[in-house]
Amino acid sequence: MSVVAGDLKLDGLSMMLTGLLVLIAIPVIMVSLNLVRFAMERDVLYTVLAAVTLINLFLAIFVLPLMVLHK
Amino acid sequence: MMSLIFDLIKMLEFIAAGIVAGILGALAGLGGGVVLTPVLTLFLSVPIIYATGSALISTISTSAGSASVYVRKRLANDRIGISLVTATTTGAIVGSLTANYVYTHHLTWIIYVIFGLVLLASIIPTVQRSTCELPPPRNPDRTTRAFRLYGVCYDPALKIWYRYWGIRWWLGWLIMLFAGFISGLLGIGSGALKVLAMDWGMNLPMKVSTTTSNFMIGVTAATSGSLYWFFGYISPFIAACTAIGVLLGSRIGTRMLMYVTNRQVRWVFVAILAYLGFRMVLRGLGREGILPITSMERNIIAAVFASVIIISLYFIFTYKYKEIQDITLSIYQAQPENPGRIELKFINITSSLLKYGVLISIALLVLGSYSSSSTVVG
Repeated sequence: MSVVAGDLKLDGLSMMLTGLLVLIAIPVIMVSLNLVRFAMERDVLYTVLAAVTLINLFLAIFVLPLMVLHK
Repeated sequence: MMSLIFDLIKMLEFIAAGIVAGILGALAGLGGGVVLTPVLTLFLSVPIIYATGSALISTISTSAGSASVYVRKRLANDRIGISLVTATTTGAIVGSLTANYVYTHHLTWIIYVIFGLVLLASIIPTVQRSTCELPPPRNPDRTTRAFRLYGVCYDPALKIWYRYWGIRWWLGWLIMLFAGFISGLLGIGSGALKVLAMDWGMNLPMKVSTTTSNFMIGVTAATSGSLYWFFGYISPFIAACTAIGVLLGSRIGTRMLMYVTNRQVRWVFVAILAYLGFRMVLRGLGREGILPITSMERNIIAAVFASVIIISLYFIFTYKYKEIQDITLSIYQAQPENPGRIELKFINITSSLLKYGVLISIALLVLGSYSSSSTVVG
């Protein structure tokens, strides 16, 4: 019984974490879509600006956590 | 059994706090996140670290939900949004790192004080919003041409399409950098500051500023949110419950706003926000023993200060509004623009991404928080 309960509890937590991950992923995908759009419109300035935003987002999501955690 | 009931009560408590924050925020014209943190810390005694983390999550969900509508209706100017979001994300990274420094060096009281001050300051643009819709026209400058900050917008009151343009992009960018910093430091969307940057700094119409800032808030909050996550400031359970609550509350709030035709009623909600702002400042000062007073005294002082501020603002703005009414504004009438083929395609994709993404994540959060709260047995 307790094993089943534990399993379900873990499942609940992982579901919540997945939900939060999806939420954080939405803006990232939105900016990437805009990057593709500006590139297709051959709009150099805005492609660069969207790329800068994307770099900032990737810094926050992948690079800085590694630097902070391994300090 | 006891702990099962206890967990369910906790869950309902957080959802209720979210609903209250969402309603208050929508009625006063602010995001739910900035109201959520005071409600959580002052009334449910959640540590401010977790309160701000949860506020960030609910900020993403509400802004993405409403941005999907604005993007589809092409109310938000995505060019202006993308060009300024470079500043807010940079600011958000710096702000989140500063927040981490502040929390690890036991300077939490600073966060309380700044939070209270920001909440108080963001009341002023909210109040001002009701007075004037269109900014006085100014000539386009060099940045307008370089960044092509043009657009057309529909005014439902005058029933015409009009042309607008943004000026002083650099000023908007600098204010956005600060807005991003505040957003990362306090874990809020800082929509009021973003609107200030576009409305006052770049001379854009109010409707464009508010919708575009909504588009930007999600990206900014995702930047600080992921950093908060790695610092361990996001408690999944609190974040999930409050995100559900705030989303529900802001829906209810916007519905209620349609029936609240009397503008004066909004002052009541603005006054509640002022009270919360003063309580946050006093909480921060009281924490370090700078201001040794009891919580009852804090309540009274906050209530007195809030009523003084609100009454004086009320008189200032009702007086000012009468003066502004007489000025006739010249509007540059325009034809509605048809979007290009590529643009139209991407508008549809982005809008449905925002809509279904929020739906999926909220469904996961509801299921997850329900099963995690109902299966904890003794």
